[in-house]
Amino acid sequence: MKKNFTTSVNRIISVILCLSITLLTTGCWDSKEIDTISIVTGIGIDTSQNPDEINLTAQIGKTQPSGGALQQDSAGGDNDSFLVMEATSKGILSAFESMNTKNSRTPFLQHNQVIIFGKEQAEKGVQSYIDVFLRYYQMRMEVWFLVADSKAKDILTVKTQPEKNSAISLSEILRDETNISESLRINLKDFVSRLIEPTSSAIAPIVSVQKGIDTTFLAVDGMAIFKKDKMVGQLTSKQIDGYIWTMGRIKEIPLEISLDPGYGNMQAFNIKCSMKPIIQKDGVISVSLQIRGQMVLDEIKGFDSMNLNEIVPLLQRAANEKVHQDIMNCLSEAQRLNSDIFGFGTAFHRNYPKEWKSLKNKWDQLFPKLKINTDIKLEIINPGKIGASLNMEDKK
Amino acid sequence: MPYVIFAFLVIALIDFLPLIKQKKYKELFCVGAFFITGVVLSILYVSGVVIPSPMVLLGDFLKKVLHLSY
Amino acid sequence: MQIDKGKITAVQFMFSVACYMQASSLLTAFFVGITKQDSWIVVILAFLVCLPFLFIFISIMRNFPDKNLIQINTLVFGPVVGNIISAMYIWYFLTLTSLNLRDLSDFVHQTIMPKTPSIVIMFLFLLVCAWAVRFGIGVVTRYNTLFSIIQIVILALAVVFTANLIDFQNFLPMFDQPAMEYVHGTHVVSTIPFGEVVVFLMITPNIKLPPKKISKFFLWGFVIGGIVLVVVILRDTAVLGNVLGLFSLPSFETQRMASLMEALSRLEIMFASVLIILLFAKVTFLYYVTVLSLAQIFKFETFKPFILSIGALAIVYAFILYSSSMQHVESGTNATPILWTLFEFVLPMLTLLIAKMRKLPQTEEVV
Repeated sequence: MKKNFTTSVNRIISVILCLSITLLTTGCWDSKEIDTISIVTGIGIDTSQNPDEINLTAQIGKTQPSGGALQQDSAGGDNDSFLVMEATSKGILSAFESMNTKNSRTPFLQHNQVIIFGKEQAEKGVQSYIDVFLRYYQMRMEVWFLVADSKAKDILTVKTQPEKNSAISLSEILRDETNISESLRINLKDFVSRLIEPTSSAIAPIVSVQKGIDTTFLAVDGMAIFKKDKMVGQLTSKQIDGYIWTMGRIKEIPLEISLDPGYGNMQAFNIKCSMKPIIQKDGVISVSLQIRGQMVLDEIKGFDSMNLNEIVPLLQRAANEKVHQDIMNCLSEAQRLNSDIFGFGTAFHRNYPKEWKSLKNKWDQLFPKLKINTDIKLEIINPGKIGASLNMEDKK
Repeated sequence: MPYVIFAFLVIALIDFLPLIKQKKYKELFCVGAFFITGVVLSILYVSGVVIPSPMVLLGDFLKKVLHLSY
Repeated sequence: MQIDKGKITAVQFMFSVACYMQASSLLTAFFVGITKQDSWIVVILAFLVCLPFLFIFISIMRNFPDKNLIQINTLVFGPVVGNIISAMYIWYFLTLTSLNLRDLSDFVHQTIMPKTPSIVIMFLFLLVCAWAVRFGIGVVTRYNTLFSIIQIVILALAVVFTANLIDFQNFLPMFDQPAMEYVHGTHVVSTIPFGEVVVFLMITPNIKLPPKKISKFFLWGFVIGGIVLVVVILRDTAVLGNVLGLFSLPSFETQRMASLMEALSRLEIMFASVLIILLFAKVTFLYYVTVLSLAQIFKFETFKPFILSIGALAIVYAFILYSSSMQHVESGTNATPILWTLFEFVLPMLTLLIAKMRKLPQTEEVV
């Protein structure tokens, strides 16, 4: 049949074959055109009246028409960059499917930014609804995990400024939080990692809706403490400071000190923390925390009749004391709720694997009595642009 | 099903014609044996018949008869 | 008598071995569920365990420089037993082809193209492989050098991109698990990625180099493949920590999470393309070896008539083998290592022993 490849008939056949094979490379069985998918940017999960079911809220970003002018926000108008859809169902994917019947497009979950659990649902337990976020192939592990102050639906329906899409603005708020510390936000992988650890407890930021002058905006303040998979408590902002000092991944953090003689505001940076679990010879367990860092003076108020050389050690001591207090505050709250949010159990497991076998089962009794020994040394290295403050000018 | 039969017909055409022309009957016989196996298995599979898998069978054999398993 | 007269250079051979082993580095789900954070230790142990067997393979190649595995079997074991053993090897090669084809199709089907039926993916993929096999060993291994280097470059990039997610504490505690798990893990790793290089014994006559020098290249190829596998496991364990055992494709999840600055994120396409490229190299090679051994055992002049029929059989076999990927992983951790030990360790050892006893390389007919 095909004796010689170079005959013109064979060449024509080969060219036709090659061209028809390129038709097969389009993968059009699975093609997704942008106008047939709805890009889900935020997923919210709330309790519903039926205890077996959940209310799923999906925030879907609208793709702007090309060349269209910026649309004005009319009161109660729909000219936003997103729309919100809701469904009630036993499982998350079936909720998406029932949304499908009301929507002309199929949901596309790969751009999901946040997963928000409503407070009630978080208190009932999140583990039963996390499975789909791990198993379904469109879900990613780096979505941010949050707990809503009230209902997740309220968070996802807020129209924020300047970023109109509230889920995207949430992920940007969280990104700004990392300028202070990485521990202030948690992605799904870390959350699940803590859920799997037998002794650790997970923690998630709380987001709430606040009313400003004539806008509503989202605030991420507070952190929710989980025990196993149920939310059991919250951390106040002082306790959150203690939490991030203990976890140790801080970039820069402001420290505000109010003493009798005066008030000082410093920025701490270049912070190195190390946490070491210690098992003493008599079996007592403790954790030693060593914090070293540097501070810059940003603002001073008061301190009459003192000069800088006296103020600096005072402020340093007060800063060290404040950090110690914050850490103890946070620790006592975690111990009250018996949730090891710092991962101390895991640290013991990693450093003392043999002893851990006996400690593991008693961790619920051991954790509330755990002591932290802190060794904090934050130094002021730079008083800012001026040396003496205005009221100290003529007292050299 | 019709795709399967069509595909196997095309394979037969491409493979067997040269062999028949060159009168290599031994080769034809061997290739034909594997071809028939493929056809039979494909038709059985497409019709929904559950064909036992050799690996699974060997695994069960190792586990239950020889007790050689982790 | 050599069916395929093509020749490959020693460097091509070395990178073929490396590329073949690198293809398995992406499918690590078999053993990370067993040893979790100590998986890298198990990989290193398996590498050391396989080295003596690698030297057995090299000895066989040296002693029989112009014969491939099927011919060696007939020579060493005699015609009847030799043919039975060769038939078993052919089943082994065909199973390997189908298993890897199934892996590829499962991956593409689950992550990239869920609506496309698997048969279409397998068929189109195997069509390209068949096209390569038709032209002989030269074409089959021609691009393996490039593929191997591409994978190494992409691995280095992936490590850089996930560098901000790496937490070395994830490797602790070390050596904390029962010893049987380490034995099990070592067994799995030494048979599934490492031991499968036994298939290279089929192309001994095609290497353009005197047998004494082959050992260096074979060894280096093995070392490159081993290093790549260790680096992949280290990176995955460092990034994922204790969620490593949850996923069926840990490397995929690691690269999904990569986000170095806002722009360089969502890089799982790198993993997907590398997987497809490397599996193409591996499946083509296994396909070639299957077809070649069939032609050898029946003593035909050419293997070309077999290609399409074996291709069709491989596709059907791939569907029959396991009904789901969970069954695949479960079999991969329990039954497959024991079966493969026979083909990769026991039989070559026996071959070498009997060959030495019968003083075979020196004179042809000594009983």
